[in-house]
Amino acid sequence: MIVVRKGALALVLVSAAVVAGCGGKGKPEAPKLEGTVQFGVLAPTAREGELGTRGKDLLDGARLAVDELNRDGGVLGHKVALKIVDDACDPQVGYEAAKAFVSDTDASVAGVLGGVCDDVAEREAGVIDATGLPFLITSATKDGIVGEDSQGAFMMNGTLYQQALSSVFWMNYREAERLAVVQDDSADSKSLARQAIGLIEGTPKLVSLQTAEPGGPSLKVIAAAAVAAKPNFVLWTGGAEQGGKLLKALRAAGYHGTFTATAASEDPAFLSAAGTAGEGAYVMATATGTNTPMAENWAAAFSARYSREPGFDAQQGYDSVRTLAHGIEKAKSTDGPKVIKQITTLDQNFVNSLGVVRFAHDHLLLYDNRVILKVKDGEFTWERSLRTDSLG
Amino acid sequence: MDRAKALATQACDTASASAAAAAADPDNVAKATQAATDAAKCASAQANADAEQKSLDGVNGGIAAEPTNPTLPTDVHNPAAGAVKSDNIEWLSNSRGLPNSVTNPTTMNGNYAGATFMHFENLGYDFLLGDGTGGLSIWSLKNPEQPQFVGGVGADKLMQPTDAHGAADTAARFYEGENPTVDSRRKLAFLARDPRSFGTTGGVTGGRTGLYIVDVKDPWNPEVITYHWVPAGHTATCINDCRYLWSVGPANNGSKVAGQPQDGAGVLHPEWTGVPSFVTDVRDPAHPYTYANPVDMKRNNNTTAYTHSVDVDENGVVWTSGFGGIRGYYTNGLHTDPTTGQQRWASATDPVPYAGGSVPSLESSAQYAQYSIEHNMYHRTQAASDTSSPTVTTADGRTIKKSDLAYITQENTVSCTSTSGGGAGRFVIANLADSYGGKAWESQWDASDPSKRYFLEKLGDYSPKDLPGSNNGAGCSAHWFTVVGDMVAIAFYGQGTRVLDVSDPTNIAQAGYIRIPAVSGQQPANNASAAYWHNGYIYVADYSRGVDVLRYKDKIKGVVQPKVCWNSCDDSQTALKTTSATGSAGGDVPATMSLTLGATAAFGGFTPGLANDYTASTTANVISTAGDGALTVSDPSSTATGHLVNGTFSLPSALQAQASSAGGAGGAFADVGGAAAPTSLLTYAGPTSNDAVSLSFKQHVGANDALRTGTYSKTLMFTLSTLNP
Repeated sequence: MIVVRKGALALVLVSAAVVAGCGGKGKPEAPKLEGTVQFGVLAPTAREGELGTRGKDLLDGARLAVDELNRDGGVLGHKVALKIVDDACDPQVGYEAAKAFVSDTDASVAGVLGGVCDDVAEREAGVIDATGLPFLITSATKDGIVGEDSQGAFMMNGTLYQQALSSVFWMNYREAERLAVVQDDSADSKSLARQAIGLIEGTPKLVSLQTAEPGGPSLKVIAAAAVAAKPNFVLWTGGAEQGGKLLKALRAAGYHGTFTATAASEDPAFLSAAGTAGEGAYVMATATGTNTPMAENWAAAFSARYSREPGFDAQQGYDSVRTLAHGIEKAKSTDGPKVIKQITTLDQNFVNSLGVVRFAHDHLLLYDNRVILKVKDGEFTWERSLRTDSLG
Repeated sequence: MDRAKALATQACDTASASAAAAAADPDNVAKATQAATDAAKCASAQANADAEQKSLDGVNGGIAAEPTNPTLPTDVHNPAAGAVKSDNIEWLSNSRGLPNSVTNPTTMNGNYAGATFMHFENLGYDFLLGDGTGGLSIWSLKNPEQPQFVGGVGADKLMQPTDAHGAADTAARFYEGENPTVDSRRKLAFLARDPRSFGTTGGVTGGRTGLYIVDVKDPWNPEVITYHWVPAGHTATCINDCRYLWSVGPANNGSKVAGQPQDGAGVLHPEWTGVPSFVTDVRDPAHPYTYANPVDMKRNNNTTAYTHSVDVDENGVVWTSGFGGIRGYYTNGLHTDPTTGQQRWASATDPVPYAGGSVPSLESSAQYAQYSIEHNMYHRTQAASDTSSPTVTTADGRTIKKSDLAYITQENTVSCTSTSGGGAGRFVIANLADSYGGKAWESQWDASDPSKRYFLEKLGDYSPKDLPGSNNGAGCSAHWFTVVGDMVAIAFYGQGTRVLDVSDPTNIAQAGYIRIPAVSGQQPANNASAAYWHNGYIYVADYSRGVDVLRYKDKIKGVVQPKVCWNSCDDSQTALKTTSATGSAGGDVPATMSLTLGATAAFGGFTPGLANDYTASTTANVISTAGDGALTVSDPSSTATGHLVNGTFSLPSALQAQASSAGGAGGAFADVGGAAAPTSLLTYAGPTSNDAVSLSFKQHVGANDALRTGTYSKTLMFTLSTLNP
């Protein structure tokens, strides 16, 4: 019996909208170019500890960029100043903080940068996106914060999805044929593993998948089980210390293939846990002023100014200010929609330490900021950028 | 889809059991190993099911409906006055599309180097996409005999600013994406950019190469997603179901130093005599990724040379053509690498050699691989459904396996009478039989030593010189071709288009021809670049005339394969709608099943709190030559199947459908079923032509149904099928 099918067609049935009354906010008027041009900053400025350090890094990186801009005449002939609002890395506080840029009548804010924490950046993006202002999300990595429907929000850092995509590129470079994945019990680790597995589509072949979790098998057993599957590439998507211990166990179990850990393992805890077994391991990290040779000069300038090494957020703050300023200069205006339009089409000569800065239709970096570090003599050392080679 | 889900469920059930067993005995490595292996199988099966679902959900059927009264771009229709042709070729129409230059929009000259096709599921018909110096043009094939130029991306939209790879583009002349490739599932078109684009018309040194990715889901308004630099750019082809592209050529690649191609990291390679193939990952078209190290290296007897074209065969084997011959590669799956004897997994970035070698040409030994290039090729395959003999017997009684046949263009663009480079390019057929053991990859070969080159056996060749329809003084080289059954449609520059009978590979016969001369002030002479069999017609991309549509009226010899592959072997490359035949001439009716839908059906506004039955309607047109037929409708979505949805909300009552027509037998309103249980709308007891179908939809809304602000909609699948074709 033969069945011939032809003409499979789709038809959309559309009902008219059931309209409810709810007026939207009007677009803010175009800022008048008087006095300084202000860039809003949303960061955990009042926090202590790691978050406080990150917030300080972000601000100092932004300030460095502002000083450079002002030294060179500012933006459109006007000095640039930062308008800093503490978001505490708390979603509720961040939501209210972002509203400062909605309710303020101060029309001199030409754009906003910030967003250190995922959930906070997500809340902030929703609010600022409705203002018509550009918002450069400096540090968050969560998937779905921006998308093709976003108006003016752009990710300045690669997302988890992009990290999964990059891991597949790296597997090709390493000629991975048989892949073992080990994840921990965190949501990010599992998401990264799941997305990477979804992207490989058969090459390499996934031969082993395990979870290192409390109450689960020991890392020794996990390592032995992974080795039994004869992989030539092991991907670890979890935290740093456990990643180092896993690597140690894998080497002890006789594994000689490629070991690559994702960005969370760029941490001294990974090195100390792995010990000598860490030699030759790869970490797919996020580019920073300290791990990227092309950023050495910038990192030196930062250190000279602030007497400390720049953290990741410092470079993100710096690059975000420059990107915002470049968009304004291209737009020849501080009018939000005009600046956003220019940010979506940044010219191909606008670069940061990794190369050209451009955004794709999905408001993610067209070429993200992944780099490969290799452990040599107990330290993370530069191996290569994981941007598309064709950027030359 | 259901099968994929079932397999995932099965694998994950097994994994759960293994995990439980391992958890109960946490120090048992064997159990942990089994659990890890089963978890990997579960994850892989789940990823596959997710991909299937995503594919089903994301099958981008293109624009939902034709735009109302769109403003169409200006077109020119070149006539074919004075055409020199065989009786079995009928010229049907011409469309210039975008002019060859944006500075001269009224010119009759439409420069098209190549074309391809894309089926638009929502509209129910195909579109033709062609590219040349004017940019990308798109034609509706709603009337396949009269393509309607509906939209495009002009060369001025493809210009790039100054960057690390070149100066700002200055002249709006795209060049030329000679062999455009598409992903019909995602409605994407990919244009290779040659270094001779924009302001570098005189040569290739210093020109910018790369790749444009164009979203064409709305053919009336295509949109460039991105331009991406790649150190190659004469042609590009989707491989591995368009997860990757191989970009190739030209002889130089736009590096700043003549004769020194560069790799993806910008390193110059004077040891390469041309640009090989660079691999770009386009799984995410918004974030393409190109690898530094190319593939198809050392293709000319251990010298890396110019790869000109990539063509995927019906089995997914990727074939390259260029200086030094043809090479076939596996790019997925587990295979034995003939160069090592070891089994390994092939990938787009690390392919496993399959077969191929150099092809004898008319060049002298000293000229070899400098004048006549293996331009493109087609590996003949035999589908499982083709139960004909796997061999062909030649006139002199030799038996040759069909799947050993490679059809090849050897290009040398000179006149038929020229002896430059051994003479004009030809169409040849080579025998792969000796080459499967990786012979072409052996280290003994040396391109510089004529005694150490590996050649395939040439079985036959063809040139139009002195044959009916020839114009010996004009350009006479073979160029792009396509194959149906035993018939080849091929473009031959100034010799126009030829149809060749290759049923005997040792005796290639000209079966038809058309050459269109210039008529002063009216039409340019043809300068045919590519000829494509498609749905019973031949579409010709012409460097001077734009696109011509032809009909070959004689029978198609041989067995038409279910998939007609050239370039990427995309699903839109639909087989000829002619039954296979080897007998005498007669009045055959091409097997035709055509379903065309009318405008989008729209209900009025749903009023909350009021019970009502809302109705909507549209039309369809059915043409069928089958002995019987059935029209069905289904909702392929797994979300509230059969119900209109608005985001996460769905209407409680099922959507109902009904159809009626003069030619078919319909029934009462019935709930729209899922893909596994489509709803019957009409049945046909015999063939029908232009049966006007009224399609009606009914949606009940109850007084207590909660309605969410917004639009309720669903995309439905209509299928016309037969058990008696």
